Amino acid sequence: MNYKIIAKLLGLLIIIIGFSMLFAFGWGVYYNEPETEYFGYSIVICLSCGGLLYYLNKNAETKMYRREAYIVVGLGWIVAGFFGALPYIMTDTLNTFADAIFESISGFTTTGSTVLSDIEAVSKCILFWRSLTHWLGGMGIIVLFVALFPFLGVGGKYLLKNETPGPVKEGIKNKTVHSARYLWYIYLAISALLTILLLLGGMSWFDALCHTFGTMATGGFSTLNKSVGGYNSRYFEIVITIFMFMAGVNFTLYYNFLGGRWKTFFKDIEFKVYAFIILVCTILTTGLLYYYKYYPTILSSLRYAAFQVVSIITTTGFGTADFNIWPPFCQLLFVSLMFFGGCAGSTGGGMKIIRIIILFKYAIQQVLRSLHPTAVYVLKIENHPFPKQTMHQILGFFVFAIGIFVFSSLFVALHNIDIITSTTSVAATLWNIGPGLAKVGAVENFGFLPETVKYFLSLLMIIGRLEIFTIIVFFIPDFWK
Amino acid sequence: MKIFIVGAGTIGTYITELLNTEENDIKVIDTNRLNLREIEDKLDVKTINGNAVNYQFLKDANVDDCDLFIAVAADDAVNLISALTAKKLGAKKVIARVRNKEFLEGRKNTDYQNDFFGIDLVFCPENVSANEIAKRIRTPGISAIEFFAKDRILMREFNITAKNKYLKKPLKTFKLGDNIIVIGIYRKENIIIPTGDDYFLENDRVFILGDRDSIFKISVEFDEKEIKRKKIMIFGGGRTGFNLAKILESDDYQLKLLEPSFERCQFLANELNKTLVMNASALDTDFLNEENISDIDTFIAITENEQDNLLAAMLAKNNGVKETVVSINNPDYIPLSKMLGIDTTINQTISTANIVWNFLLKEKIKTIAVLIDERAKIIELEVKDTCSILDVPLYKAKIPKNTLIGAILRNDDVIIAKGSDILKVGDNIIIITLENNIEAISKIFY
Repeated sequence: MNYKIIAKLLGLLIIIIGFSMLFAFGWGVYYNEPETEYFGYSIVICLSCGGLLYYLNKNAETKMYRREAYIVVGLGWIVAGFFGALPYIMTDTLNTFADAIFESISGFTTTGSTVLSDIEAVSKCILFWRSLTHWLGGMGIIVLFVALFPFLGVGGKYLLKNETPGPVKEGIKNKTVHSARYLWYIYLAISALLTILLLLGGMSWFDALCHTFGTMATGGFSTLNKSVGGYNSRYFEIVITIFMFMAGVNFTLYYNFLGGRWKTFFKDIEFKVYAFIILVCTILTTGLLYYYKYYPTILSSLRYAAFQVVSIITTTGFGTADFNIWPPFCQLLFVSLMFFGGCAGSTGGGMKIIRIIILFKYAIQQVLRSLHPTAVYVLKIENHPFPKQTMHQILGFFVFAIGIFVFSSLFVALHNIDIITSTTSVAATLWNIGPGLAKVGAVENFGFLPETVKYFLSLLMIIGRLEIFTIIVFFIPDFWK
Repeated sequence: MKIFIVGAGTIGTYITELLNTEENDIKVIDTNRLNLREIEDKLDVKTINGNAVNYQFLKDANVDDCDLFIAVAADDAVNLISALTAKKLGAKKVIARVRNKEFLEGRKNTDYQNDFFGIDLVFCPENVSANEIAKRIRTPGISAIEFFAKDRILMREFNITAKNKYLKKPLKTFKLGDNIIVIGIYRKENIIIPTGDDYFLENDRVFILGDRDSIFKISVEFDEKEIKRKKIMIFGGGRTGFNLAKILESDDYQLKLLEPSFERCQFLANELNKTLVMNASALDTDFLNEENISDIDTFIAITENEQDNLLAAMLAKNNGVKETVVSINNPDYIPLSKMLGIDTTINQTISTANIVWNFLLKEKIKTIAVLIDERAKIIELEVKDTCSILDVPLYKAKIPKNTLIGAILRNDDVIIAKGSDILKVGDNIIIITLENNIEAISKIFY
């Protein structure tokens, strides 16, 4: 194992985190906040720790293989969570280490679960940092890393494989570095567009940027206690719904779209299913909300239903309504949507639509097989045979996903937390959504949970963000042999 | 004409046989001495043992001054390379057979390809057969159908039952309509090209030519059960079976494709999207019944093994399938298959030879089909000013015995020929005749 390169890369990662804190620091200076000074200390710590780590290992060989890549990515996210937590601790925004870690990891993994109860009381520089962690984590800190440091070569490919979501990893460019850069360009471009639209609607620069970060990364941190609902603006809700939807789409499709192959958009089975699920769920929710007279008109029901459905399925977690009090059918529907998530190659979490499609097709084939024992079936996506090995990986992924969900819910319930809270808090963190139901519902927060549960849920967020295998592999003895 | 034929397999032999006339000087090349000896025993042609991809070998064989070079060896690469080499050496026309569809995939026409990197004709016989079967499947009705004149004229075969109202009446008394004509009667293994005085007997098989509507109308009169084909079972996932399934997938058929080799099944399942690929043999009656064979509308047996095809089709028929289509390569088996009650036979050798034939006579004769056995042929040709029977009513025209001018296609109009019709330059005509008349006919027209 090449420990030196691991240390060197982690050093670089910490430096990047330190530099990105400067943006938040700037807002502190701008608003002349008292916390700014303490915030500055965390930058100093990051830069010096990272710099030292990098300096000590600067001569490391760049040779890197799968194991190193697993460690860099897995450890990288934990390290990012740790150093990203520094501002919360230094500025005394959060009192305990567990809270700070939870908030930081929730940011980077684009979960959006918070321990803060009064967000508006928190200083601007901290709020900005909170949202910025979303944006960095959304496209992936490792992707950024690979884009910035071409010296990684083939190692970059291994790194990227472990971070980008989805079962099939196909680079949009022949070179990994170029793929990573393009993804970031697209991400940057769409983010810029959203910011402009929010500014046009009358948001301040600060709010517009924070909400852009939260939306594009499918994160969910807002600057208001009542989340996006706090603006009570139809314009913002429509714009953010559309962009949440866009963030949940495979970014490769945008690349194709920009390259003139716009037809691939509508041929993509995953996109079609994704749009279809959203459509059906929105109609169902709208109907129920209107029928049970939650809102006076169909249109107002649609407004809240669409926002909430898109927010949950893309795993963003913004809210304009407290769905904790919505009809039970809607609540249960949302919990199931949490497992679905966005498309592969998007910034969304969850199991990803493509995996659901494949699992479903696989299950149907098993039934057909019992009907025609001699028939030969091949699982296909868009009429192309789907690689068997990947299919088996997806089955394994599913087993782990359900296993981890059950085990984690039990673990949380062990702390005398009710069933709905414990199961939905696990689903909401494992799949990087944000709010759950009951005591962790849309208007509640995770602050009341015991410290052990907070640490545990933080780990779940990373497991979910890295799609299980990247973290689980550390618990397999063979990895260390 | 100096002709080279590479490959002395079934098709090579058949083409040699077809082309072996007095004015043609044929050399057959093959790497296998045994194949060559077989052809030598049968036909008076020269054979050369050697590999046709060898430049020096072809040069030494004097390919440079040949008029026609036909590559139909088993290996696609050999065919393509030898054809290219021959062209380079100076052969006037080169033809290559390609069995692997990948070579032609994505091009305009996957059946055959004109001017493929300088090769004058590249064709895929499996694809031709597959298209031929697909065309029959898509046309409602049972038993053999042939298409002429860009599919505007059809020929259909009917069985004469005891209940047929035209039984034992002279043909000239029939009132079938203007657009339809009886062109052949098959009785006791003999084909009769009828005149007005001939008549139908029970158990005859008769061939009727006409435009689409008239043919469908007469089908009702002749009490043919119309088959609406929906469920189709294909036995044999070779190239033809695979191509056929792929073609039929674009329509709304329920397709089952049986293939005994598991590995081939995997390939098929990968490539086909709507077809149910099954790793099974149609020679297994239990399997056929388990898969509800009696519900199947059309059973198509197109494995490489023609005996298997015949047997499977009989089993399927016996277990209740409505219609059977069988691929047979050996022309000797065709009459047999009719006796066994097989509805349609497809002969790849003949269709392949036809492609070559059509290519050679491109200007003259467009399609050649056969009635039941090979003795009676249907030709389509264009009337030129060299024709000796212009401006004469047909009943006065001197044409060989047992020859019938069936239809005239004039400016997109289909005319079923009557005695009073007169041929004009530019007409396309369809002639039914016996094999030994073809030369005489070609002399009349050219």
